[in-house]
Amino acid sequence: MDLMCEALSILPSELKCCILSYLNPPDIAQMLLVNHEFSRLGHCDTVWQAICLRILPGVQHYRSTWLSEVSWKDFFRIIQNPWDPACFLQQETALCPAQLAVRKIGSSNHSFQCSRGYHRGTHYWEVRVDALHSTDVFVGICPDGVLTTTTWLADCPGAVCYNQSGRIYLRARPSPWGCASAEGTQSGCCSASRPQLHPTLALHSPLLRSPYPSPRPIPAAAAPAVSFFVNGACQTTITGLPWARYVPAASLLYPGDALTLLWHPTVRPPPLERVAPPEISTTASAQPPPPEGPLSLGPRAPEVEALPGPVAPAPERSLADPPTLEPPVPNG
Amino acid sequence: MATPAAAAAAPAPQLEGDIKLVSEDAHEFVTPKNVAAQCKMIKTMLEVSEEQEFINLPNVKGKELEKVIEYCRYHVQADKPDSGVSDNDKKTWDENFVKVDKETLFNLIMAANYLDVKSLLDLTCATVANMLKNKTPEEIRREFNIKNDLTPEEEEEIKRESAWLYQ
Repeated sequence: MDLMCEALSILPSELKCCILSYLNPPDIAQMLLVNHEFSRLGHCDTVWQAICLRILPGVQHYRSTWLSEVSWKDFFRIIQNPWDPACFLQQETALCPAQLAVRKIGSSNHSFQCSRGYHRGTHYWEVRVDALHSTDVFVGICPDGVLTTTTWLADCPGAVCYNQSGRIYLRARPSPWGCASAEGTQSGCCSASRPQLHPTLALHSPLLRSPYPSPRPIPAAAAPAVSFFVNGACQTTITGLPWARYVPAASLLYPGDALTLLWHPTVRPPPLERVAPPEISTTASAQPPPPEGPLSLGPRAPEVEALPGPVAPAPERSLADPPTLEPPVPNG
Repeated sequence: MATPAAAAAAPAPQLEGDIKLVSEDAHEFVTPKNVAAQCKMIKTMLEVSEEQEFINLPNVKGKELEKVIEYCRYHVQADKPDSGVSDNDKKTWDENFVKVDKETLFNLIMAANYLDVKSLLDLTCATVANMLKNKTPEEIRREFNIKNDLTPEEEEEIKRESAWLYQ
């Protein structure tokens, strides 16, 4: 048998690209290592355009933004990032794999959220305050669908935020989490809960954790919560969040402020047993969880952590369960 | 003179009769024009001159041209509304059609590209892509007789830069 006839090399580059466009990204990564030629062809714009349009249908509208200036490969990389592509519509954002670095430049609002929400499981992400020229940087979670690029996390009913003013403190909404009240649309410090002083939070890299026990029936104390950790120690925990699909989110309010959000924490998450008692407890009564439809993991592997072991009060199940990721929801 | 829009809206001329296709190695295939017109390249030539009796195809060998004609003939018949051929039947037929050796498959890709048969190009390229899936670089090199000209340092750099592709 003529071995040369078995060589892909008999095909012109144009047709090799056509073949590559039928591969998925992990297979493209393997092809890059085959030889110099495939290492070059694996970066071709035509290949990545075909992959984008095949794997990510409906994302073309993002190409009409400044993203039209990036290559299709970078476009794919941006869209696949766990942070909502809508937050890349402003150019003062930068991107590394699974990491969003954002710096506020203009005077317009600048909020961004993760494209992956959840309603059960335990989730960690890390926040680095890279620059702080103002008094307000808001980081936390918010119910999916509430935050847009033109609103602030601090204004969202149900938002969990902390505020830096030389000192860091948490601010809670006066109304039950997630429920709009007469004051529900106001921003500013609430009267119902005193600021929780955490001066070290901004100086370190706070690790945020959001455990979602989900037994049925749901005890009120087992409602979702969000915790802020520094160096493995829990600084404060907010519990009693109503059941919803939540997304990690942040807002920058003043020019010069900068954050980096890491989907994969660089620090070791603390064990669940060390969760401190809640310092802020809202008055929300736990609502029934949203009906759990079929698990939809989408094309990506889950990138959240689910630690074994119970959390007080011990649920019958849930924390050992795999977390549920829901499909990305285009924002804004 | 018809405007371009009017020309585009006009029905395509009915292709009747046969045409002789001559391959690079002088094999001749007498084929119904409506079958040959599945190849956009041939269709364009037929539209330019309906009277021609043969078309030389200098970039396609007889073996591959025969396969392309077989493919086109099947799909012309199967795509008729009253053919009774289901999509599953077509898929199965396509899968069997591309069960050929690699040399033939690569030549079919080139023939489909030259003759501009998009569905056949998609089918053959997807078939080769399936051969590449879930394989290590070494397995791919071995199967397709490719020489590795990357240095270990270059391989390391590529691995580092493409780590995000595995996410």
